[in-house]
Amino acid sequence: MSRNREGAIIGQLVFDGRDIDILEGDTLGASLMRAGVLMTRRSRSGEPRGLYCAIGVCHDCLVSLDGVRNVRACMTIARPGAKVHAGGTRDESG
Amino acid sequence: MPEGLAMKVVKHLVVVGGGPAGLSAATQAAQLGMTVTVVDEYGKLGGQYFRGRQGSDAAGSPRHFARETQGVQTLVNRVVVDTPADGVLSVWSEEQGVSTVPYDALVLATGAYDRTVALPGGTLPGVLTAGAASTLAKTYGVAPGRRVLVAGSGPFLLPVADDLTAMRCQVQVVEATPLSTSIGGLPIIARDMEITRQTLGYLLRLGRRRVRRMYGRMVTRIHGRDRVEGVTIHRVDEEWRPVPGSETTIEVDAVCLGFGFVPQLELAQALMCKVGYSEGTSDFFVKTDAFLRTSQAHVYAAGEVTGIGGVRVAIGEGRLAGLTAAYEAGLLNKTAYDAQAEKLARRLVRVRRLADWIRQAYRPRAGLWSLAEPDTILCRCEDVCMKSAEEALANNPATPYAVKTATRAGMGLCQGRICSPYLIEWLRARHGYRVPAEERPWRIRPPIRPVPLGDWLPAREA
Repeated sequence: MSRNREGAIIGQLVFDGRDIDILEGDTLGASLMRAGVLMTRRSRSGEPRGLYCAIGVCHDCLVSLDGVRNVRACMTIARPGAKVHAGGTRDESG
Repeated sequence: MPEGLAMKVVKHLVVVGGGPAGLSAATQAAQLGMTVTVVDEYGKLGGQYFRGRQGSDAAGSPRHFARETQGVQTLVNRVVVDTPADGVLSVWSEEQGVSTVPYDALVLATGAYDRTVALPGGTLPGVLTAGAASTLAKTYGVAPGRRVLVAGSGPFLLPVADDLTAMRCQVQVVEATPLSTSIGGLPIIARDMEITRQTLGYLLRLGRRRVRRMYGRMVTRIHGRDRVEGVTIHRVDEEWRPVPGSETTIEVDAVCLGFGFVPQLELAQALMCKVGYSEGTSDFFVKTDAFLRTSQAHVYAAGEVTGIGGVRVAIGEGRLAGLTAAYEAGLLNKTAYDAQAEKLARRLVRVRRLADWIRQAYRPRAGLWSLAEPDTILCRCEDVCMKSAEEALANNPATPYAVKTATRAGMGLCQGRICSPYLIEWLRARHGYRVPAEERPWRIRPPIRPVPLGDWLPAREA
């Protein structure tokens, strides 16, 4: 039976200026959701979007990672020190 | 001397998709002496089913595969992006860009993903597919919220609710299909000990944790500003049309939607394999014969791509596909093949019986295609709303391509994987569209997966 996993925190990433704990094996999306962050990007018309399919199909969780845009949060392993910004926002380039 | 045994050249089988079907095919073929390569887009083998069950060594699992085979090449973190020539796949990875993989025979075991439905509020953060909720809970120990609604149709809602309650979420289940349907299936379910035990386990645990289950009801609207705050639920008739005046509104933090699965058919389509469609259950699938041969020589298909059937069907089909591939490569004689194939086919008949009943009993009904309002998003990538789709049909025939061309729906990074299944059903239900025979009216041109242009263009010109 699955349990609320109590793995070791291996570091933090920074999401739009906020420190987020990373557990071993986390994707960016998993770390963000564990911290209660649901919105990971804004769509073309500015609507909030988040993790949806979590298996790399829908592309609704696109973030920027260390300056690289259009990274799928659900498929990308989270590394300590990563600078992540919500996709489709002005902060994304910074 | 039996024909084929004189051949000396060992044939190379490439299996696309390392889930239960693909690994079963790879195991079977490798044990019979084929050279086998498995290609998978994730970093770990196992597909969606074993992704959250990494410790399992059941049949079809990565552990079982590792134990039962030797020298099978596994190419992980790679997606097949093109079929540039007969017997060649183009494969992309972040590290290596585009490279080619030659094959003599091919097993398509590309799996499936959750069916998406357009409904008001359906794009809010906190709305996830049921499959996503399950993966996040089991693989990462993460839940999308404290109060979670699991809604849709079919037996998959139970394990998802189970996964979420194990994480101490407050879960409610809204099943669109009436309870009488599930009860009507008891004779079929009871014949299957494994499934009976599993289902009873879920129901007992959900009962003990006081999970509220509602039947014959559907989520018709999701509320919230920047994230999910609540839902409206309607009672529905047998065609899933909301009954006026029956609505209730409840507060939740997240919604997990599971209206069944759609197979990943893009690679089969790129290879010109014939595709079938079941009007009754709104399902596309790769056409195969009883031995898992597709319409293309030396191309076989197994698992969800041949029709959604779950893990047991996937394993059975994988084995049979691997066996057929090995036979056609000359690695066993006809007598041995016939005996083994018949045994595998007989077992498949038994596990397919329940899968077929499930697909039929919990199939999407007409009301599901009418929940969207004019400003409801159809295409998430390009932000196309239903009103735009409706307007596109004013001067065009009611086809998926007319909507795509006029609105850009399906032209984003998901390449229409999310919106096209809904678009096709909406056109059928609301605009009298008819799906053409032996074809899926949605093709993805290469690259059949999004690839950085800098990697794709040089490979194309080479």
